[in-house]
Amino acid sequence: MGADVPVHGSAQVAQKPLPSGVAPRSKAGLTWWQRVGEPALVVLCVIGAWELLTRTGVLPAKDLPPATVIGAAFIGDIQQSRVWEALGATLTSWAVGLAGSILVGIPAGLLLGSSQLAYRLFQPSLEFVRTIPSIAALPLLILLLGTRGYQLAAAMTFLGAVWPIMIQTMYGVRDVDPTTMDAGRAYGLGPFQLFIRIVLPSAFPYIATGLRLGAVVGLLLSVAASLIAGGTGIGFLIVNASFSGVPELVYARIVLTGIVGLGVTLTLVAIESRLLFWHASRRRTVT
Amino acid sequence: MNKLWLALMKGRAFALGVAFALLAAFPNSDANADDHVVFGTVPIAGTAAAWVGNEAGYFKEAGIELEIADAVQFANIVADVMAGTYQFGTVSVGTAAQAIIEGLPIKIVANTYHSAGEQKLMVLSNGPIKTIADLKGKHIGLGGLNNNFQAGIISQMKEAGVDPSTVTFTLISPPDLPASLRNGVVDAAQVNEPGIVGAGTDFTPVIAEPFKPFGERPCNNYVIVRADWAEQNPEIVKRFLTAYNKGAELAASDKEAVIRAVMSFSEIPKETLEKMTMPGFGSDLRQDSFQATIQGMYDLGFLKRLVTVEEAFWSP
Repeated sequence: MGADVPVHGSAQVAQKPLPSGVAPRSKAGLTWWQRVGEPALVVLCVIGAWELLTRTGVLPAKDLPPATVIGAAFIGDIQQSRVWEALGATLTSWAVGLAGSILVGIPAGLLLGSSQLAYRLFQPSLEFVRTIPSIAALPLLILLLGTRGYQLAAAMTFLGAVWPIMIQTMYGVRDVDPTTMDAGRAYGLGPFQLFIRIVLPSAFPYIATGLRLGAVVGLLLSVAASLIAGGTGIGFLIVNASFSGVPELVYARIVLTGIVGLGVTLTLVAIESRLLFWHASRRRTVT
Repeated sequence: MNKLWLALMKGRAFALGVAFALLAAFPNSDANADDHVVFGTVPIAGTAAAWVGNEAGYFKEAGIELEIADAVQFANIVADVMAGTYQFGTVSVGTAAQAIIEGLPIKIVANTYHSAGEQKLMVLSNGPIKTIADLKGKHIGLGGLNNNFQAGIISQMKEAGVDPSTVTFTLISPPDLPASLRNGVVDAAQVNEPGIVGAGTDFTPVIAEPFKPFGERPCNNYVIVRADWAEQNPEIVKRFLTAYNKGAELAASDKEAVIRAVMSFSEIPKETLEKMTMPGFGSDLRQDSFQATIQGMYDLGFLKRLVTVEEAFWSP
């Protein structure tokens, strides 16, 4: 395959020894300090400012507890099994909904991208439907599925994730370089071979982006489902802490949800990086 | 060959004998299984009776395996009861009445809790509002609009000579109402426990008994069931009510049991629970207060029509 040559070439470039005294750099040309240290410093500054503003009374400490109080609540909370059970319920619903959206979104996107007729017929409707906030479907889904069990959160995840996955896949297929397709045909590749060897690899970066976007939106909606409707997820635990009048626990659980979201995003970025090692956007460059 | 066949047959006869003996010793577990019932609640102290009854073993005694499901809003509980995911649920008086008016086949079967001073209209202790008359032209935050709380305070404002049309009512999520009052977003706010204890001396009640126009300790929340399900399962409903009402009576007489129950489903610290004014519990349906509340809400235009006791309450 044509794509093999630049990947091998870039691998050779990456193996060149670094001159002495030069700090190791990431693929984006950033040092460890630039990648991790500086963003962490920003986070620490925000936490410090929060602590200062609440301790000095600029922000109402009764309603916005100091960062250290939230931190203590966080430490105490993650030692409780009910938090992990709720987080497990949210992630299970999310995984089920995401799996469903992948099973529907990718084949539908491939079809819409490959068929001019299907694209012409469905593209306006898709563009319209994807602008409707998925959360608007919640009342109807509550009536259909009830709030008990994982079905509601899984359905919300599906609704949030399926559109980015489907639309990114569709555009990925449509954006295949026509010259590459012509070259493939010139080498005698049939429709199936063209699809496997050219269309799918070309569309893969788009699909990966769709998956990443869909996964994050789906996680947000999975949390939102139990936040609004109740049930067993982490969203309900945030509401429960709020009903109980314990704001530090509310913020501690919001932070936990944020950490899980960050973990999901970083994991997907890492997987995407590994799967797309051959793609131009992932190759190392020497400047 | 014959010997082998005989040995096999003897083996089979022995196995069959063992199987029959086991069946006689351990009858089919399904035949004696408890009826599984899902009861939908929101995580507030007012829903403690079911937890108290469950902890005391009353539901088990009645042959009910109780599952308590968590919801956030009463309206969602109605949806779940209608969908059949909950067999029983707890809703406010207004929500029950609205559902009946909309033609939903629900019936009230028990008292979830009645008012005992756990909800108040409060103002800042060091603020300018001292009496109900001072509420004229002010901004009031409520946890729900067009409900019995609003009907109760409007009735008392009218009595004090305040024209309610001069007052702006704003819907704010109940847990955020104390913060809204403290930070000047509203001039007065509905504050429920544990917010009353949490506020300490920051707030003072301007209307201490918002539900007073509807009688002495009127019922605020009821347990509902879908009418057709109750018709098909009257024995389960009766057994549920026997257990539930025993739990409610225990909750009425034993604050420690209520505190233990609330600690099992909420995050309210024990020291706060000990200081809290608990809602009232009991098996009395308080139908008089139901009628008075419905009349009060109807008079203000919150309900399209009156709901009678006969159409609202279940009778086996």
